[in-house]
Amino acid sequence: MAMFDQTDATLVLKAELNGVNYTAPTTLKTKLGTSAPTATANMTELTGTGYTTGGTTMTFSTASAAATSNSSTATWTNGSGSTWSIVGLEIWDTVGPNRHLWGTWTGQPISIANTNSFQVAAAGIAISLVLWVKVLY
Amino acid sequence: MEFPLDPLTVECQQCHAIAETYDYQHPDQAVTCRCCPVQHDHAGIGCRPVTITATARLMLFDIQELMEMAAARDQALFISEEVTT
Repeated sequence: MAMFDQTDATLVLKAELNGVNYTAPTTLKTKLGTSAPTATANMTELTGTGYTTGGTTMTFSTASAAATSNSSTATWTNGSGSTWSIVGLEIWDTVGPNRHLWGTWTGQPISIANTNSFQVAAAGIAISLVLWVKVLY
Repeated sequence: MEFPLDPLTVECQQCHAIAETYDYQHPDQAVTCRCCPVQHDHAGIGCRPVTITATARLMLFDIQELMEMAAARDQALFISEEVTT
């Protein structure tokens, strides 16, 4: 299921239940990928001119009601000479670096032809811990 | 039930014409503007590039996966009731 890196989820549980403090990251980077990540496996990170390995620094709004979204924007311009096929995204810190959150882009894979740009607007990445169980039961 | 897909927003970097599209494989073709009078990929010779804005939803549970889990559970319950009756 989308969202939490398994190691990160374990650290959150330890913080809540085992008295082990969670080390909050100060700088977060968003990576683009050409495959879908899972809770235990990283995606294949995009490569080529216009994309810097390791991702782009992004900031996020203060979480409220178990949800948040990105407050900064990011743009990558494809100069690789071929079309990008963008599938996944991952949010990493810069210390470990450790992976925190992961997911896929709506409608993926998204094709970005050479010279075109891929952009994330503010609030373009919606992050939520709200459960949808009530819809089902 | 599943989440409705969000469209991509496509903007010509030259004249700033904007379009929305659900064609995730050819989003650049959504914008036909005076810079590029023929529908194309905005990546050819003389064409002006476009900026494609995408969205993502990171949620603890994926609604479609939950629906599949619920369907599997209901099916299992149905089979169980058939066996016991």
